[in-house]
Amino acid sequence: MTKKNHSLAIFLLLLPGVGYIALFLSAALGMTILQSFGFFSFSSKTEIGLQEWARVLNSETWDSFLYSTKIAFVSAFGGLVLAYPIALYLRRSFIGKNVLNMIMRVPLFVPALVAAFLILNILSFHGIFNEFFLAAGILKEPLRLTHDDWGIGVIAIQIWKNLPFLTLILSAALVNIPADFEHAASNLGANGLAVFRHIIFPLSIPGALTGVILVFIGVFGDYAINVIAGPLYPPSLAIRMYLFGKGFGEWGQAACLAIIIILGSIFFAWLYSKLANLVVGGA
Amino acid sequence: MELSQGRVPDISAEPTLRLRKVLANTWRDYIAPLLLLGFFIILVGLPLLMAVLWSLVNPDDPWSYPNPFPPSLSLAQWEFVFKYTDIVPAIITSFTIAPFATLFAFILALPTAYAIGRYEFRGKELIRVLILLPIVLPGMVVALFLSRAFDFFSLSQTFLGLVLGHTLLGLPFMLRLLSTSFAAIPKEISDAASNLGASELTKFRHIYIPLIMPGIFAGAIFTFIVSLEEFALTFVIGTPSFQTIPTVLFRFLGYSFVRTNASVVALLLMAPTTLLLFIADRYLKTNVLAAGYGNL
Repeated sequence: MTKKNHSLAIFLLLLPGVGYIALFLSAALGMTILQSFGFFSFSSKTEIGLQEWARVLNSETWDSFLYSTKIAFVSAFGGLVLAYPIALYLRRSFIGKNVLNMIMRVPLFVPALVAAFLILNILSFHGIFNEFFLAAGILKEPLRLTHDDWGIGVIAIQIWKNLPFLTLILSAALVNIPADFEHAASNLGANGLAVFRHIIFPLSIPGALTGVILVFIGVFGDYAINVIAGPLYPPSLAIRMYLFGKGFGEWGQAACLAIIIILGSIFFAWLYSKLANLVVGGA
Repeated sequence: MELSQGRVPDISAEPTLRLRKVLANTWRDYIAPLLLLGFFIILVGLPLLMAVLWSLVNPDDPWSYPNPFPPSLSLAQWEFVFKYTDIVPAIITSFTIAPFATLFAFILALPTAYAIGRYEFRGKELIRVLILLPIVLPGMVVALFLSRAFDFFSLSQTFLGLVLGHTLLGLPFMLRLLSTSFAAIPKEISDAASNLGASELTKFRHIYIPLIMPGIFAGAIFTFIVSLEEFALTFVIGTPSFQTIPTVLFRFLGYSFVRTNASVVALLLMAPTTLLLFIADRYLKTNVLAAGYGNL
């Protein structure tokens, strides 16, 4: 086979899988970008320009943006902080480790909507969480933990669902750290905290970064869990987008919100990568 | 019970120091791990237990505040959900879309995964990123604007539209698992077959396909599960014409919130996916999930 034939063959082999994805995504994203500048507006006469953007960029959208950013940030980094000690502990061998590994992973297998229901059940006004702390005398009256203004219910669901994923990805990163590093450092007189700060932490950053970015993006663009457990106001960015598109037929504004969600995800992913570089470089 | 077996050299015979060491070892070897295990059993088990209990509440003997547990159990809630809600057609729709989406994804992914796994070419890294986009992009964004594109081709509110959409979301998993399997085939085997005169097509049929069977199995399970669990796209493109198990659950969790109904449907949705994933995990031995996520 000549080289030219060879690359033609590879192109033809790639076409079905890559072509399918490229076709559907360019249809979806192309539609989004065009509509955000006024094309394909079915509700009113076509008006090309930035007027849709002018309508979208208001204080309510800003509230939604801040809310989505906040819950995504707390879910991703809160989950990471909880996953760290577990991943560190899982490196040793101990009694019941296999059982722990199995149980810990269950939320990974639970569909997101089911996870939402499970946690909602626990946190609801007369759920077992409130009842337990009332009975123990720690609370005087039940706490409002779902549909609360702060998004506690949503964050609890997201952390519960994502904790095993974050733990697994951290464990995978920690496995790659040669044990000699730690031994060498300890032999030279470094204590546990110093070993963590200067060796384990910097070397685990790539895994932690991937985990944080994926969880952040997932929560940032979330629709369903916010409908089920989120506050009445502000709606998450994805709820706002859905409302404008499906609810009001304002597809131009919905498209602008879609672009805000995508660009926001890219921006924060970039920001966290920069931060990770800074941390590794500075350690 | 000898707890300090060979872990800490016994340098002192002083009794208090020894006792302290035994206590420390007991804590380290037994108490701390068991506390952690207990914590996870509660964290994971309690929500599941509550859902099971809620699905078994006896309507004649209601479970209400301040009873910590339902006074009596019955299967009445399950009967109710199956008799009076649209769960049965939803289950049928879910389990009809999933095999089609899995088959489509497999047919589309097989040649592409072969090229990614067995050949070096320019732009491979870019393609690796591109094929992940359907699952990295926010689900509701893809769903809403794909539905706008589907409107043009009259694919919204159709079964074909749903299958095509689910295929898109399953493809990244199928492509990854298949291309990893293709890449893992040792070069020696392929070379040996070539030396014996096997053409590329013969090798593909008689060597590659049997060797990547576990990958095909894993890819099929993942795509099937993605389809079963898919919500946003089905919600936008399919409802109200088509209901699947997730869209019914969403309704029971949202504007028609009935805790007992929701718990029955939640368990119904969870059972097949959990079962399939545990089978995959067991059958494939290597940790597919961690490996899959780790390579992202």
